[in-house]
Amino acid sequence: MEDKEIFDKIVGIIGPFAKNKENVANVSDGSNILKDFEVNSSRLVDIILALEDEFDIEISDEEAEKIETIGDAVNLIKEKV
Amino acid sequence: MNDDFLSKVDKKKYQSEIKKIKRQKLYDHIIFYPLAHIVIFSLKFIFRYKIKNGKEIKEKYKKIVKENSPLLLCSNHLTLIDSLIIHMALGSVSWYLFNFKHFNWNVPAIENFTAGWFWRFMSYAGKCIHIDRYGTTEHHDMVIEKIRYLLKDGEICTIFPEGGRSRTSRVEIENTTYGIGKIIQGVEDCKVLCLYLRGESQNTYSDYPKWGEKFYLDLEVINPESKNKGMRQVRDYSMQVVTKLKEMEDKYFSLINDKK
Repeated sequence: MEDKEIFDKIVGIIGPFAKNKENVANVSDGSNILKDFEVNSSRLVDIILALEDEFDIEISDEEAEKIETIGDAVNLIKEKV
Repeated sequence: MNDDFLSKVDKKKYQSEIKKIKRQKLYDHIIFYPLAHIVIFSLKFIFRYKIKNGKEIKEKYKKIVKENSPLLLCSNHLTLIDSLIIHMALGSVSWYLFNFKHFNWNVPAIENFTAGWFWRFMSYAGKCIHIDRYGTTEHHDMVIEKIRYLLKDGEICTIFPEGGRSRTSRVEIENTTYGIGKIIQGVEDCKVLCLYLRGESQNTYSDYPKWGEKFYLDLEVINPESKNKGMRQVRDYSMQVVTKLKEMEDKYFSLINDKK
C-alpha cells in the first residue's frame, strides 16, 4: 500500500474525532494528533482501534503510546500491512 | 494486582503514594464528624437542598454496598458540587462515621487543590485524590493505580465518566473517557454503581445547583463484561457504564413527561 493511501485513510479516520477541523484540513506528516487536532486520549484510543479495523492489523499498547504524529502512524502501519 | 499495568508506574513512588493515601484516610476519619456536620448543615439548611426519597436512597445504598465489592461509583455530572450532593444523599453523617469505607473517594481536577487553602483543605479532608487532566501518562497511570488500590481495599470511589460537566446537560456518550474502563480492567469482579443525579430545575450545566433545589437520584448496579482484551475491553467497559447512565437519564425524562 502506498504511503499516500495510508496517509489519506488515517486522516479520514481522525477527522470525525478532531475538535480542530481547520488543522485537519492543513494536515501534514508532522501534525501532532493530540495537540494539533485537539483529540483527547480516550478518542485517541478510538482512533487506534479504528486503524486496527481499517488496516486489519493489531497495535499493541506500547506501539500505540509511541504514535504522536500522523507520520508515526503511517510508518507503523506501513510496517504491519 | 495487575502487574502489567503496575510495571508502567514507578513501584517505589507507588508504595509512597499508597502510604500517603492511608495517612490521608486516617486524618480524614479523625476530622470527619465535625466537618461533615458543617457541610451537610450548610447544604440542607442554608442552601436548602433536598433529596427526593432520601430515606429510600440511603437504604438502597446500604444494601448495595453490603452486597457489592469492589464497587466503583459512576455518575453523570452537571454541577461543581455533585460529589457533595451524592455524599449527602447516600448516607447520614453518623452512618458514614461507622462505615467510613462507604464515604466515597473523589478524583477532582488538580485546580481544586491549588485554588487556595480552603479548597485544598476541603479536598484533602474529603477523601480526594487529585488528577491533572493535562498531566503525563505516568501521572494518569498512577491515579488509576491508586483508585484500583482503594477499590481492592473495599473503599468506594466516585468517577464522572464524561470527564467533566456535560455541556449539553445530557449524558454525552461521545465524551466517554476510558479511564473508568482501565480501572475496571485492573480490579477483578469490579461492580459499578451507576448513579443518575439531577436537580429538578437543572436545565443546563452550572457551577452550583439552584437554591432550594430538589434532587432526583437513581441507583443501579452493573457488572461490566467483555470478551475482548486490551484497549477494546477498556472501551467496552466504559461504554457499558455510560450507556447505563444514558438509560437512567431516559428513564428520568420519561417519568417527567408522564407527569406532564
